[in-house]
Amino acid sequence: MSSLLQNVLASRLAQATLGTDENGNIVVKDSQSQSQSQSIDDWEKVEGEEITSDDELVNVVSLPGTVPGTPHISRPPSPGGMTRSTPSKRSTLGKSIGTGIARKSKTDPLRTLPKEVSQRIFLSLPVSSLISLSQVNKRYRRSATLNYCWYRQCNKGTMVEEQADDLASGGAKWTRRASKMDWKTQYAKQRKMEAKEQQRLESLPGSGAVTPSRTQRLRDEGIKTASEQRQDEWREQEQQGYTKEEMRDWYKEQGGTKGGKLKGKRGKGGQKTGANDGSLWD
Amino acid sequence: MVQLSTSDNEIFNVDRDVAERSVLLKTMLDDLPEAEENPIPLSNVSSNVLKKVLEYCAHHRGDPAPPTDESEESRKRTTDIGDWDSKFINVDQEMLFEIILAANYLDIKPLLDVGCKTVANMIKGKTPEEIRKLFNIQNDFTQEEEEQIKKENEWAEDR
Repeated sequence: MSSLLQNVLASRLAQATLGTDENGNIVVKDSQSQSQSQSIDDWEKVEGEEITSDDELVNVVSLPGTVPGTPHISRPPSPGGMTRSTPSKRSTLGKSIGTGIARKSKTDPLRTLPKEVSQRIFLSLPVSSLISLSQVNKRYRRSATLNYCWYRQCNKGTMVEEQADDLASGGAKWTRRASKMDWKTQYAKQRKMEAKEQQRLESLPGSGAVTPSRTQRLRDEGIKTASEQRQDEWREQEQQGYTKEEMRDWYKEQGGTKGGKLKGKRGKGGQKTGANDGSLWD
Repeated sequence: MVQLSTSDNEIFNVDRDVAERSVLLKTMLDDLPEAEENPIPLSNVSSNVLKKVLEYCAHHRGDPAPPTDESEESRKRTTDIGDWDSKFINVDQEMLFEIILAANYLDIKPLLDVGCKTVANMIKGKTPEEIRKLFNIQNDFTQEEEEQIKKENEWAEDR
């Protein structure tokens, strides 16, 4: 009896691990959900190659009130996993040196240096150099550190002092949402818009002034818009002013309803409940 | 005098004010009075790198305290390096990166700055291919990807 039960259990176990037809659905479902959560992480990934080095993880902060991001279920546990949350300089340094594999370049800034340092270097570079860097290889193309530099380029001038001091306080601080955006493309879009605007301004004759708005043009031609007309009417009415007699006549015309209604109401409301109910409490 | 021991077990005897160029060592010495009696282990720094770093610290031992945050911004922006510093940092690339790592670890901001600026100056004005050659980086793009990247960066061509 017990041996039969064991046999059944054993065969179940075998099916489960092999993922045969019976369990097929579950296996497929699992891999689907995994691929979904992987796509969330794609900024930190280069086709097939998982970047485990710390320098690719530019500090992401969750702003108060925002939902924390999806946990990295799909990531295989890496030795660096534990130290990732504690950005102490010592651990980063030790790991960067330790993970250096002989055939890999020892002088690749993105590989050798901790992210705060490569940020420091890249942030001081002009846009043209950032473009060159982004074309070096796959790692550079998808680098979160470089993406952060583009992010800073996009927000130049609008940056709050506090944010600009990031470097002093050990590394970038940005939201998870911002870290998932492609800021280089964003920057390119901004430039394109600016270039278009510039072109448009240059194509205009003379001063390069902006095209006047519709309201402005109508006003220049002496055409009144509907709202302007109405406002003029109201202004006239206000300025007219009435004499006492005129006011009285107007009230009479209204059939005395203005004052009458009020009187009637008072009459009804005259039965003050509180006063007459006194007996109830006596 | 302060004793520092390196990753390859060499002991360096350093004047306290020289050692205190490093914020890490300064806090250590301030917080732990007994640190002055025993060698401080610097397991991440090798003797040839520490020698260079201490050379820098000794030369800058009399420098005023590091500037406040406000002027740090402006210091970051400028890419020029002092005469002595630029001679000092004129080393092979591997040493340069080791110095940067040590300066980061020991928290010597001005030295870190010199190192970072040097690397930035090396990158400036270079094409992707030149950067690869400079840092000995493999180009792992496929032909297709190369084409795509070219297209992606067209906006920057006419700059």
